[in-house]
Amino acid sequence: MTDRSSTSSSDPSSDPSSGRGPLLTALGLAVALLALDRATQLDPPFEEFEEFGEDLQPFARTTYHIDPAVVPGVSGVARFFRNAQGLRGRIVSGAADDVLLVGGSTVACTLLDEADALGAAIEHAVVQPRRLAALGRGGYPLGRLLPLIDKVLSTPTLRPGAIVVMLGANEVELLMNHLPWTDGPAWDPDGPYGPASWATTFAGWYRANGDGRFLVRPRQAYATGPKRDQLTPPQRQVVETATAEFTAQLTAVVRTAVDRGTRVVLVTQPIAFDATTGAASPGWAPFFHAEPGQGVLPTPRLMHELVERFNAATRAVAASEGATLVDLAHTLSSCGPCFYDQWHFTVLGASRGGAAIAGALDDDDGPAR
Amino acid sequence: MLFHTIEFAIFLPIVWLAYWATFRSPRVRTCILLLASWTFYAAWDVRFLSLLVGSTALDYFCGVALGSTDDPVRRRRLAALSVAGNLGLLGTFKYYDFFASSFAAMLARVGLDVAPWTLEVLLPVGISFYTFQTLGTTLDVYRRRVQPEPDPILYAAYVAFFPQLVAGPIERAERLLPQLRSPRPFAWRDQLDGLLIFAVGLAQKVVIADRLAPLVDQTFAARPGELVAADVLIGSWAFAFQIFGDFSGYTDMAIGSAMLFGVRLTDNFRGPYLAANPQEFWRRWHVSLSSWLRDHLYVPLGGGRGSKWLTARNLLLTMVLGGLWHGAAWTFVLWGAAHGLWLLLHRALVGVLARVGGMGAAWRWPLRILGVAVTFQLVCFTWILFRAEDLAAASLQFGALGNPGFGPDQWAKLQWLFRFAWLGVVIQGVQYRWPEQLRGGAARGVLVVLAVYAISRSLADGAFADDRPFIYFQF
Repeated sequence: MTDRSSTSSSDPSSDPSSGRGPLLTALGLAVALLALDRATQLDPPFEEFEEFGEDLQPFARTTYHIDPAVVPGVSGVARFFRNAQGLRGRIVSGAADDVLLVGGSTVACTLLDEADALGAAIEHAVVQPRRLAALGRGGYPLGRLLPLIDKVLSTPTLRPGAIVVMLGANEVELLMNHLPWTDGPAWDPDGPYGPASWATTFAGWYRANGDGRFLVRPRQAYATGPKRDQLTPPQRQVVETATAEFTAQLTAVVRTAVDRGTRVVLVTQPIAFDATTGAASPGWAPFFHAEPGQGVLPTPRLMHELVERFNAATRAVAASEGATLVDLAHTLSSCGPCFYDQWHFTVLGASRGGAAIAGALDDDDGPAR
Repeated sequence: MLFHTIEFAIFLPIVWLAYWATFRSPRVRTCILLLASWTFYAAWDVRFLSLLVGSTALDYFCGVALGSTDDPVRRRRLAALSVAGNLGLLGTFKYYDFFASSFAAMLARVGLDVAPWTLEVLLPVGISFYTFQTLGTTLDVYRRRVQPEPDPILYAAYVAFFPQLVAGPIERAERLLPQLRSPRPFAWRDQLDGLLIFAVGLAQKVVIADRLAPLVDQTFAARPGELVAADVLIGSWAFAFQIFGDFSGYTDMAIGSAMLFGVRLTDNFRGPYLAANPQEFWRRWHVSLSSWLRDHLYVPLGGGRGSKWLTARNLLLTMVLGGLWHGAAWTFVLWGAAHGLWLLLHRALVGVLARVGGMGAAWRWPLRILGVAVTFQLVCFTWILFRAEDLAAASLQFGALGNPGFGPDQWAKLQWLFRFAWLGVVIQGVQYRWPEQLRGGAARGVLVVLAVYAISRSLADGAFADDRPFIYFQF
């Protein structure tokens, strides 16, 4: 700062413009603005996913300050970043060492810090360096992920060397919210349990700066509410239809990927229920639409049965299509501390799951097995 | 109440209608402006309105009393009362906890564990701006640069004038008071210019600042080992344009709003990133603060009139206190000190170059371009101190400058930066070429083009979804 005449004393009514060629100047600026605008909007060197939803907003950042009493086994302060493409982790740019994780919140690892998430755990564990990105969308079953997967596989500047697909949780979640679990009147498709309200089913669970207390009410409801251990015959029919559709969709995904030179690793969805002892994790808290006392919930055993139906479909598709299979459902079947609720990973769970997937990625570098 | 929210979109037309409907009645007109301004301020927290009123009353009293006496002792006491009152407010609400915690930390280092007794009060929005404005006015009256304002309503409206109340520009009495006393009559030209300038300011906020903010936030939330040098550089460039878009955008919205009432506010930005050296940067960045610090701190300390060591002391002290004005944290102190040292180095370099003789005219533009690039990069390095949460976070950023690497992630960040920052470069070019609020001739055409583009781009980006507060509100 130096001595100089005061800027505040300048005459407010003075006209500093030269006045020469005002129209040309304005015109020149207009042309320059449009040219610069086009130059920075056209052909970005990376593709984006924001068109698929606001949750895929570039560079979004959420920090969770987590209550360890409610969500054990995770960092107290968990950062969730989205990159320029709206994905968690690295940019996917069509490179051979790009690996895209596809799935729901169990893949996104919402309450885990950047350094602890599944993608980071895989990157840490692989022998051959790879760049992991996670396209995990909370609450999305395979059917709703298909447009995104299609974009990834059909765009050369996106298509990764491998995709790792872990599904099943949201398929079961969807069934839970669509099947007539209530003992009340007949199921109303337009009612609170019907597809019309599906979009709101998961809304509001995760909040910025949340501390994980959204798990408290589901846990309370599970502890006190009525539960059902068997599917009714009409419900079985819905489940059969759903798993058949899932199988067809997953098969199509694997075939498309392999056709386009992308390797597929299919991963079964692990769940915090030990089938041998019949014990569920103490943090068990499936999200469901009903308020406490309103609905009839599936028991952990029935939930496990439902998840296993989709896992069985995943194993079958892997076998029939020759895709690599990581049977995490089996690997983590008795690892209670691997989950803070019924299927979301703790740091330990992501680390063990990441190591298993990394092993599969290292085992075979071919585009598909 | 933020300028880019629906609340302000409702508030402004109501005040505007009431103001122009009563324009012929100066008393009513001024009362309306005052009530509107206090309402605007109370919208944040009605409790803090008492601080604004208290600071206004103190300086009104001091000013009037200064005008009624020639006794130098009494005049000094009155000026000291204003200084003590305003700095006391700032000290209590802004700095007390910082100094108490720092003192406790210092004692802990020598083995004395003392729990700091902190107030933990909320920082009243705009306190640094209005206290400096009222204090500056009293000091100007003390130095007989301006006459005291006898009308308490007009004086209160001057202190609280809502377009510039919470984040400046810090106005001078000799400029703003006469305009409030005898404002320009209604003119469609003022109204149009005001709206156009407001639109350009809005675009700077929602298209540049708010779109770059997430990238900046991520960069500065990183933990050790997560960044390479390119991430830090891109993050600091992004912050440079975020804070420019945020603050220059706010200022243009303030200037535009004021023009709707026939009032012209001071310029605060004149293309700061086109400066070729630190001295020029401070003539182009936050001009109303730098001129306030120059006139009320640097010059009274002795300015450049003493020995070179005294000048250096004055400059360094002014910049450190200027840094501290921004926030109660060591990062701001260091930011100010870094700029002070840089200004000193620049002075020394200019002195050496003057002795060895100037370079030929052919070197003028290459050297200017080099100067702009170097100055921008050094400003960005200092922005790291300004943006970091604490010294450890700043140290992490500077440490990462030693990690080489550039891949698709960095390329994508760079693309994102260019996508929004170029508009900031264009706007700074316009500020540089047409300072003083873009009036007349070519400037109006430029303003129309900029405003049309700004509005269309803001709408196309859907940028209004994010109602981030202005960065400078926290100061």
